[in-house]
Amino acid sequence: MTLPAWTADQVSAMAPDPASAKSGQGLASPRKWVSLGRDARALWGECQGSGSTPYRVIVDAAEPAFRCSCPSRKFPCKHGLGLLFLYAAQPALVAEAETEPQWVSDWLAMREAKAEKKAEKAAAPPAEHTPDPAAQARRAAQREERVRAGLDDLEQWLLDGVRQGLAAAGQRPRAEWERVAARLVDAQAAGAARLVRELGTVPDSGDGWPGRLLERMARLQLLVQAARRMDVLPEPVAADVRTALGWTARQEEVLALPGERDTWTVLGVRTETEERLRVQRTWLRGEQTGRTALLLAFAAAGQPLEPGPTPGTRVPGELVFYPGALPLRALLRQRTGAPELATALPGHDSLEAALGEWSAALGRNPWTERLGLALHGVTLVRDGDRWLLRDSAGAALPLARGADAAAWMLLAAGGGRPLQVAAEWDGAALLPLGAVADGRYLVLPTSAEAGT
Amino acid sequence: VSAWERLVRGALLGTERQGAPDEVSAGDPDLDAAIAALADRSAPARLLGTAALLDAWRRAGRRAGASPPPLEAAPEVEERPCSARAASVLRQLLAGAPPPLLAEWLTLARTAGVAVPPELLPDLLTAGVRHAEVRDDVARGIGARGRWLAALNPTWAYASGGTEAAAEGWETGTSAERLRILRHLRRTDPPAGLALVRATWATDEPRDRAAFVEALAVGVGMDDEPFLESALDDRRKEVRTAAATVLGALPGSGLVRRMTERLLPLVSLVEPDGLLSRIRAGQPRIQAALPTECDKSMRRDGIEPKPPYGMGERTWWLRQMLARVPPSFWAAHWGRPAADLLAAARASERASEEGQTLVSAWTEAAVNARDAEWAEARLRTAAGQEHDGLVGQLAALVPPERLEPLALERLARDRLNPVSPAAQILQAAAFPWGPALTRAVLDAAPAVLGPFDYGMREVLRAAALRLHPQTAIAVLHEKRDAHEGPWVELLHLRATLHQAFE
Repeated sequence: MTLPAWTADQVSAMAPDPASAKSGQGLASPRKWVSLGRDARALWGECQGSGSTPYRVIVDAAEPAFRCSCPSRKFPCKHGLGLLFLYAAQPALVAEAETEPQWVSDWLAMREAKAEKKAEKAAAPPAEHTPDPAAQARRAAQREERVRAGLDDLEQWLLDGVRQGLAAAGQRPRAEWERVAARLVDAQAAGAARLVRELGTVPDSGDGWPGRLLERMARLQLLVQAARRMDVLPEPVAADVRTALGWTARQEEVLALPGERDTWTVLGVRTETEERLRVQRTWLRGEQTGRTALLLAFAAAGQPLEPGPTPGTRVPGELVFYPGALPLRALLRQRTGAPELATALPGHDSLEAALGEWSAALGRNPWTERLGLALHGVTLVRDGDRWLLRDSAGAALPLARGADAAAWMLLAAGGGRPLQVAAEWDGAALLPLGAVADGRYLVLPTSAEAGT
Repeated sequence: VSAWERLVRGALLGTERQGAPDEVSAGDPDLDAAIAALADRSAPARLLGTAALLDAWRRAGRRAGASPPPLEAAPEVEERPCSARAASVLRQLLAGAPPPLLAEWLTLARTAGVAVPPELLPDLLTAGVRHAEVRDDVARGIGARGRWLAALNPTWAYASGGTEAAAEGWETGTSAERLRILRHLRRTDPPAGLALVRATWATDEPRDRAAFVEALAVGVGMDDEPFLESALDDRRKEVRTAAATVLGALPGSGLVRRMTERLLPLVSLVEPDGLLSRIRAGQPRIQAALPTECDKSMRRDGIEPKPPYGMGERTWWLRQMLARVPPSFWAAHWGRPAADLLAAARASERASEEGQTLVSAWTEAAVNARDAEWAEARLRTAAGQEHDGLVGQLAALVPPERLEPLALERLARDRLNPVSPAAQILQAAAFPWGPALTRAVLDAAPAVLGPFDYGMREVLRAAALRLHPQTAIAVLHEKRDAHEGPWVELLHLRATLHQAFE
C-alpha cells in the first residue's frame, strides 16, 4: 500500500471550515515541524505550537483519519491539515522512515483493534440485544399509532390548504408551518417534518411559487397515503416510505446486509446546514457496477463532521446499501486497498443519459430528492444571468443559483473547452461539486466562498 | 394551458370556491387511468392526488433544454504549468497574505515562464479588484487564459486587456477610474490613450482635462505634440500649465525648441582658464544671465510671470524656462555628462543665486523628462535634507540594476535614519533586492527589528517585502536575533515563495 498523492484542493476539502484550511496552509512549511516522517500506512510529524512540547500529529492514510495531541475541538485540526498540505506540496520533505515512532504505532494499533471490535460487533447476530420481543412489539405499535395520528393531522391540514386555496396558504405565517412540523417531530416522523418546514419557505421563493408549493404538498400527501398502506407495499417500497418519514434503519442492521465490492470514485461532497444540523453528502460511483451511492454524515452545527472519503479519489472497497426500491444511501463497510487519485469521473456522455438515471430513480422512489451525477464533455454557457451546463449534443441544464463561484472556476479551468463535471441534481438545477480538467480533479466551491 | 397549469390555478383559488378540478387529461393513457381512479375522492383529495401523479410524471420526464451557443474557447495556455508547490503557495497567498506578495508571486512566475493555475484565476482577479496596488501586476500576470476569463466578467474588466472595456470605462467611469484606464493605456498603447482623451475632450471638466494631459507624459511622443500644442491655448490655466510641462519633456517639441532658443543666449559653460583654473582646480562654471522680460509667447509656453514670495521675478522666469527643457539637451550641447554639469552648477551656486537656480531647475527638468542618467547623478550628490519626496521621485526614474549599486553606495555614506537619502532611496526601490543590498541594509540598521523604532517603521515595512528573503533570514540568524513577529513571518513566507520557484 502506498500513500495517495493528495492535492491541496483535496486537503482543503477535508477541513471542517475555511478558517481551519487557512491555518492549515500556514503550517505547510517545514520550519513549523520538529520532525516529519511517513511509511506505507501513515504520515506523522511533530508540530511546534506556542507551548513547549510540540504537538504530535498522525494521519492514517487509508481513511484518511487524523490524530493530534493538540487541544483543538476542530476535527481534523489545523496540524493534521498542515501535515497533509505540506505533503501535498512538497512530498520529499516528509521522508520515508525505516521505523514508525512508538507513538505512531501505538495509535495505529489502537485504531486497528477498534476496527476489529466494530467488525465483530457488526458480524455478531443482533438477536442478543432483543431481550423481550413482546416489549419491542409494544413499543413499535405505540410508535406506529403516534405516527398514524400525526399523519392524519398532516393530511387534514394539506387538504384544508387546497380547499381554502394556496393563495391563502401562502400568506400563513412561517410559525404555523413550524407548528405543524413540530407536531410531526413529536409523532416521530422527522423526515415528514423537514418536508413541511421546507414547504414554509416556498411562498417566499419568487415567481412560480404556487406550482412549487402544490408539487411539494402533493408529494407529502402521497407519503401520507403510502404510510397508511405500509403493510401491503412491497418491502423495498415500504423501506423508502419509512426513510421518507424519517425512520432510518439502524447502522448495525445495514452493516449486516450483503455488500457490493467495487472501486468507488468519489464524485464530490456537499455540506449543508439544515435545522441546526450539518449534513454532509458524499456521492460515489462504482466503476464496474455503475452504481451511484450516497454516504451521509451528520453533526450538530458547529461540531466537526467525520470526513468521508476524499473527493477526486478512487476508493476500492465494499459498500452496504440501505434497503429500498432504489438503494442509494450506503455505508462504507471496508476499504480493500489504498485510495488513488481519479483522473476521470465515471458518468454520462449526455445530459439526456443523466436525466435517464434520474427518471429511473424517481420511477423507483418518487421521494428521491437529489442525485449525484458525473457529466462528460460539458461546457459552461451563460443565458442572461443564469449559468447552464451544455453537453456535446447542444442540450443544456441550468446551474443552481448561487453557484457563481463554481461557475467561474469551471470556466477558468476549462477555458471554454469540454470538462468532466460532478454535480448534484435536484430535479430543477445542477450544483457543481467538482470537475476534472487536464486529468486533475478540482474541488469546486459550493457556497459564496470565492469569486464575485 | 397544460393540465398542470390548470391544476395549479385551481389549487391557488381553492376547491371551496372553484369546486373539484375538471377532468384532467395529461394525454398519457396510463396516467389518465390513474387520475380517473381518484374520481370517488373528495374535491381537495382529488386535486392533491392528481397533482402527485402529474408531479412525478413531470419530474421524471424532465428534458434538457436547447442550449445557447457555446462560448468561444480560450486560447491554449502557452506557459508551462507551475509546480504543485508554487500553486500551493499562491493558494495560501490568496487566502489573505499582504497583496504585494501576490505581485511577487506573479513576477517570479513570469520570470520562470510558468502559468497561474487556471482554477485560481477567479480568486486572483478578485484580489486585483480589492487591492488596487496589485491590479496592474494581476493584469500582466494572468496570461491569455486570464484575459479571456476577465473579458467575460465586467467586474474583472481591468484585466481583460480589451480596448472595448477601456473605451466603455472611459465613457462611464469616475474620474479616478478614467485616469487609471488612461495611465494603463499610455503604458501599453499610447496612441489609443490619446484617442480616448480627444474623444471626450470637448465635454470633460477642466480638472479632469488637466489630469489627463498630465497622464500623457507617460509614453509621450511626437504623435502627441499637435494635440498638446493646441492645449497651450486652452481656456483654463491648469490645462495650459500641464500641457507646457509635458511638452517640456519632449525633446523634439516646438516648445522645447522655442525654449532653447530663448535660453542659449543666456546660459553658457565657462571653461576654467588662468587664475580661475588655479583657484577652482579645473572646475568649469555655468554662467547664466537673467531674462529681461516675460513676453506673451513665453507666457503661452507656460512661464508664470509672478514669482513665489521671496524670489526675484527674473530668476523665477529663468528657472521655469530651464525646467522645460530636457536636461539631456545641455549634456549634448556642451558634450559633458550630467555629473559634470551638476558639479559645475553647484560650483557656480556658491557664487550666485543663479547657481542654485540651475541645480533645482535641472533637477525639476530631470524628473519632468524622466531622465535616468540625470536622476542618478543628482541622487549621488543628494544632501541630507532635500525637499519632500524629491529623492523618491528621482529614485523612481533609475532602473533597478543601477539603483541597487547606488543604494549600496549611499548606505555606506549615510546614517540610516528616516530623512537620510539612503533611506529614501530604499523606500523608493520597489523591486526585490539582491543579497548584497539585503546584507548592507540589515548591517546598517542594527535596531532593525526593534519594535519601538517608529521613525524607521515605514522603511522597514517596505523592506520586509523587498529584502532577499534567504539572505535576510541567514543574517538574522547570524545576529542571533530572536525576534519573531509579523516582520520575520513575512520574510519566511517570502522565502517559501522564492523556494517554490527554484
